[in-house]
Formats: sequence, C-alpha cells, structure tokens
Amino acid sequence: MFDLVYWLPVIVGGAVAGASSGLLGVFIVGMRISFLGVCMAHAALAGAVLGGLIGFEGGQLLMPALVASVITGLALGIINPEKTHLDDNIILGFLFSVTMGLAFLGLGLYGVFGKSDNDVRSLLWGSLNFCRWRDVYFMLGGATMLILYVGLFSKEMQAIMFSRSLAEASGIHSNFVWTGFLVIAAVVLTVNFQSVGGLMIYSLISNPAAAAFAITTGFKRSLFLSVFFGAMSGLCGFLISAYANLPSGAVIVLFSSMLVVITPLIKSIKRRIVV
Amino acid sequence: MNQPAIEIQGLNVRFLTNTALDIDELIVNSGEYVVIMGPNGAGKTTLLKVCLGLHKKNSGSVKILGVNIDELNFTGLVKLRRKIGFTPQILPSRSQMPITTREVIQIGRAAKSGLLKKLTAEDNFVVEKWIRELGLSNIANRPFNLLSGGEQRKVMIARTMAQEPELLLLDEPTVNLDLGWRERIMNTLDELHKKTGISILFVSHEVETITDRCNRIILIENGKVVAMGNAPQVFTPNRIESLYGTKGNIIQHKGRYIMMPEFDATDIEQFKRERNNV
Repeated sequence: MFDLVYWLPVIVGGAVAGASSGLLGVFIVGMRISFLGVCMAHAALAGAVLGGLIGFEGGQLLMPALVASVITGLALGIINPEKTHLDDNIILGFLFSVTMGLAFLGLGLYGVFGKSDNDVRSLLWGSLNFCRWRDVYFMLGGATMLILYVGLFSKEMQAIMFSRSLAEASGIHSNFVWTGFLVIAAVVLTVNFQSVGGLMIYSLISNPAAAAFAITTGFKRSLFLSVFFGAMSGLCGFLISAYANLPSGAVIVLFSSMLVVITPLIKSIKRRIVV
Repeated sequence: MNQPAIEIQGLNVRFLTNTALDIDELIVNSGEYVVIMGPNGAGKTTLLKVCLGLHKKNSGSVKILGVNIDELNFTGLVKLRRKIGFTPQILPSRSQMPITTREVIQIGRAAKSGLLKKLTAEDNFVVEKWIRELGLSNIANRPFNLLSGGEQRKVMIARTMAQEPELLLLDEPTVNLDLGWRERIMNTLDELHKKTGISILFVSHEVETITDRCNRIILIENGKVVAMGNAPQVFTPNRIESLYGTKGNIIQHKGRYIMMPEFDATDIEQFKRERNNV
C-alpha cells in the first residue's frame, strides 16, 4: 500500500486538474481553439524565462508566468476575428510564434549570462508525482475562479459558443465576457501546467470534452459530464498507475483518450438496445 | 405617428477606396415589411451591419427606432441591439458543442435578461411560446447541428423572435433551401408580420420570396438605391438585363412573382395556353 500522506495531494491534485481542465475544455474544444493550451504554455514559459532573467527564482517564477499568460489571454480576447478577418487559430498561431520566440530567446540568454534554466523548465513540465498541497491550493483557487465565472456568465458563454458575432449583434457584451474567460483560462492553465505538467493538461483539455460531446446533448449536461470525465481521468488514471506501478501522467492521458473511444461505442450500443 | 424603424440619410461606407454603400435616403416605416434586393456584392449585408452598428460608416446619419447610432456610447449601442432581431446569412456552424434547439432559442433571451442574471420563468415562457409558434416542439431537445438546413433557419428565426425585437433584420433567410422549406419560412414570416406588426427588413436574392405582405422592394446596385416599388416596377426587363447581364422578365401568379431568363410576354401566354391544354 502506498503512503497516503505523501500521495493524497497527488490524488487530489490529479482530480482537480482533471476537473478544471475538463470544464475549460468544453469551451476550448467547443470554440475549436484546442491550440490555446499550447499557446498558453509557451506564454507562461516566456514569462518565467524573462522573470528568471530579471531575478525571480523557484516558486516566484509562477508570478511572471501568470502575467505573461494573462497578457496573451487579453490579446486573444481583444483581437476580434470579425474585425481582423482572421480566424482565432491564426491569431493563436501568431501569439504562439511570438511567445515561443521570446521564450527561446530568453533561454539563449541564460547561457550568455551563465545561469541555470532548470527552475524555468520545471515550471512548464511539472510532474503530478511531485504535486504538494501548496500546488493543490493554487489549482483549487484557479478552479474556483473558473466555476464562479462560468456560473455567473453561463448564458453569455452559451451564446458566444454558438456564435460570437451573433452574440455581439444581439446585444451581448461578447468581447468583455470572452476576454474575461480567456484571462481566467490563462490563470487555470498556468497553475495546472506547473503542478501536473503540460502533456497531461493538453489531453485533459481535449479528451473529457470530446467524450462528453459524443455521449450527451445540451450545454449544461456537456459541462457536468466533461468535468466528471476530467476528474475521473485524473483519479482513475492515478489509481491504475499506482496499482500497476506505471507512470501516472501517461496512464491518466491514456485513460482520458480511452474515454473518447468508448463513449461513442456506449452511445451506439445504447441506441441499438432502445431500438 | 410612430418613428420610422430605419431612417438613413446621406450614408457613405467605403472599404479602403471602394464605395460599398452610397445611399441618399432610405426609410423603413414602423410596421413595414420591406425587401432589399440586388446582385451579389451590391452592399445588402453591409447595410444590415451598418444598421446594427457592427460596421463603421464614413459619413451620413443612421437612425434606428428613432435613435441616431452616432449619439450612442458602447452601452447605448448594446441596448439598441437588444431591440433588433438579426438573422445572419451564414448559419453558425463553428461550435462543436451539441447545443439543443431549445438552448439556441434561449440565447435570444440572454441579452434581454442582462449580465449576471439568470433566465426567469417569464424568459422560459417566451422561449416555449416561440417553440410552439414555429412548430419546433418535436425537435426542441435535438442538437442544433444535427437539424436540416430548413429546420436550422426556422430555429434561428425563433431565436430572433424570442428576443422580442421591435425590428427584424433578416439576411437571406431562405438561401440554399428547397421549395418546401422556402415556402414554410416565407409563410412563417408572413404570419409573424400579421400577428405582431413588427417592422421587417428582409434581404433576398429571389423574387419568388416576395409575398403579398411585402410593402415594397428596394433595389440596391453598387451600393446605391436604384429603384423602389413593387416587383413589376422594380424589375423591368431593361433593369434585369443591366443588373444580372442576362435578358429576363417576371411573371405574376396568384400574388407571387417568378423571375425567368430569356422570355417575353408572348412566351407566358403560350405557356399558359399549353398548360390549360394539358
């Protein structure tokens, strides 16, 4: 049996990261901007790199990482695809290029100044197995902000997901609500990246939402199911990995991927039984 | 007397150096049902976007429901848009989410109920009313993205009507629909106009969509209003040729019009005789 005192924050962290990423994923997958996760990861990395260069260290690097990802979220929200005639994904690609360029430029300067970039790299590629209660509190804080925001603006978010331009035309503060969501998404993603790692977060954004969309209809049901699938991926993936002595991140990713495969099958079988 | 629903004076809209709209005067009176027609690229959709304050104009005055949009700040413009029901030409297909028909219609109430407020029982009552009115009860819980094009158009009109607008701006609501669905949509709009007396500005490419309830047609070409009146007044053979680059004429049948290429009045008489013989 494993040491519960050590592993409990890991288990809770996995479940919280899964649930919050699952909730984010409904909007990110729904708006077809799955690349947002990659873009935010590099924005956070650029922030941390530049923060390291000006003297931030260790846990302090989270602060410049958050600032950079929030600025990226604001930029993405303010640049209106309708007005620029550019698709969200093209804008994301541009922001990704800028943030990645800045991150690697900064990493190059670490060599010039003879500094170590280990702290910076671990910020982006944190590991669930080293997740501590402090990380869990950060993740819970981000998840709470996200839940409150989605709860307060659920009807506006529903309208924006259906059509951002139509939401604006019918008198919804779509730019304000969408930009606010992107800022909170930036915070949640950055906190999750540094606690449980980028690879796991990318898959927990896409897979629970895709599985929920495949098996259910309706906005609220999709939200609840995606959160449930995300939390289950984190929890079950970890327990399976602990039982079978396998790497936890990989098992969680594979568990969430399996959901995408089996949910349409369940729906198909259910339909045949009903018919 | 009621304020005009739309009052445009000296409007000029340019895309870089190209003039998209150049309208001296265009008035849609309260309760009027007006169809805007014209060839592709004439500026019809741009006109609707200017009315919604979604497209900037270079000069001129645009009053919507008695309010000059230049005098509105951002919040004022948002409030005005809540009184305008807009149905776009291109159906939203972006979202991957399996959002249901009922939820799409609820979106019509989202702006009206205001930020940070939940939909009330009254909002849901209005939503259910438009589901019933437009005969959507059997598809109310189905995902919007699995509906046929005609059903989606009808849902979009229900969403717009759930907004309880004072002015309806419809951008080609019958485009790409088969005959049956086109007629259903036209009948729906006629019924709406009859029951509510709402002002309607309806952009269309097809003369066939003009019904008895339509008060007038406004023809736009190269951003300018070139004709106004009923279908025979607007679509003279010479104008059809200059607009579309092909000879044509219109036939009236039971209060509706059909535009046909390359025929004259004797062809119609011949067609009617042959039909009667059959």
